[in-house]
Amino acid sequence: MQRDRVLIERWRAGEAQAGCELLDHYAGYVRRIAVRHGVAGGADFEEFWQELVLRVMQQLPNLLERLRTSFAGYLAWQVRDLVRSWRRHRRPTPEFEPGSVPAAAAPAPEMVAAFWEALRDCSGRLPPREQSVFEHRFLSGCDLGEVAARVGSNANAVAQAVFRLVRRLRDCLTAKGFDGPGDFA
Amino acid sequence: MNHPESELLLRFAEGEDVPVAVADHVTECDQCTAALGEIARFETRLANASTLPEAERAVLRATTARLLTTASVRRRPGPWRHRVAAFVLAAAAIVVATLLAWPRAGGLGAIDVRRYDPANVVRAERLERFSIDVRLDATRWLALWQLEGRSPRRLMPHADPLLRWLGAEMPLPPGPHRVPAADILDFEFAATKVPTGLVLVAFTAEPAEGALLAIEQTITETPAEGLAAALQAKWPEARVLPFPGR
Repeated sequence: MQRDRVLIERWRAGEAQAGCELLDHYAGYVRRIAVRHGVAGGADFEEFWQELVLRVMQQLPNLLERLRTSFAGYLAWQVRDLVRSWRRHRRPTPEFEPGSVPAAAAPAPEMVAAFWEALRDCSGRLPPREQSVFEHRFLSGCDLGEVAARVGSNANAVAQAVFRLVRRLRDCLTAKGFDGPGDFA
Repeated sequence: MNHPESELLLRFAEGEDVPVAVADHVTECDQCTAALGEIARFETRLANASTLPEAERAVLRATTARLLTTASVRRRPGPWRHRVAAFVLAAAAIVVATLLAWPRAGGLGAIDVRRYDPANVVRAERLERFSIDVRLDATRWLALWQLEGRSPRRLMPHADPLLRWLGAEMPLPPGPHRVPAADILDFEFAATKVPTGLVLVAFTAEPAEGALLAIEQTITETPAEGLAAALQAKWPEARVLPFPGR
């Protein structure tokens, strides 16, 4: 996360390469969330990516002030917002289908595949309500209000579930040998 | 104050408006920042584990580089820029003189400023946006400024060559148009710093930098009450627009 802030500072100071490095690192993450929201791959995603980059560029002067948690979280909400904007003004996109990420979208290295396997196992052990919250909040990039609407609960209960499930998943992943926030960085 | 409830803490994290007391508390509170830090680390961890096929990554990397490096080229100073600037200023003087002498029909029709509160946008501070709908009676190039008292802030042509006409193909043909062309590029301002007005100028040819600077100088040197008349004396198709209230 500190690395992201440094890259943003350098990018803001005019070093385009820093911006390229930052965005390149999150391309897979953005694609994963965009696909979950119905953006098709290939040329469609390329066009989506271009709009996302333009949006981040537009917000670059105030970007650091906007980051309250992580750049990943910021990107997730921007992706979701951009998808909505596409739906309203650009083109019809397929409806949101939870779990529609093609598993073979990225031929992941062994460690990455093991991480997702471990995460699947750990999230499967969560209570059903927390599993839903996890899917919507962390895999689809939904904000608090949207998650609450999707799981049929109120925002405060969802927020408590978010804090609780993150602790549970951290403990479970640590027990499985994934113990660093910088895994795969 | 006591620790804010989970909902407020997460809403703060998502960039939404929360009471000032809560924002101040979260910033100072180790326990709150630790809880948010835990979520941030988890998000980063998921992002780090999201990969792409190398071929697809290369395409995106090229797109990113094209967008970012085009924008950064303008920041590089160089001696040729001075020569270009001198040429542009000379050309601008000719263009302005020609424009002033040329009899024209009015090109600007109805103008509507739309101010709105963007929904579902990550915001660290309270931000609002606006766009303009304008009807043109003839083919025109447009330039737009946001006013803060006597300080003009040029919105179009944008300083970034990539965004110069904000998604539009200039000159614009007669008919209704939206500025910017796409809502993703809509103008943003802090709710605590609302523009005092807008200046929209239509040109029959692409405005040179000198002409734009001359308009900015007129704005800076003229009191608000006489601004419209002062601009229209030199640029008949200039409009001073009040900024709409909430």
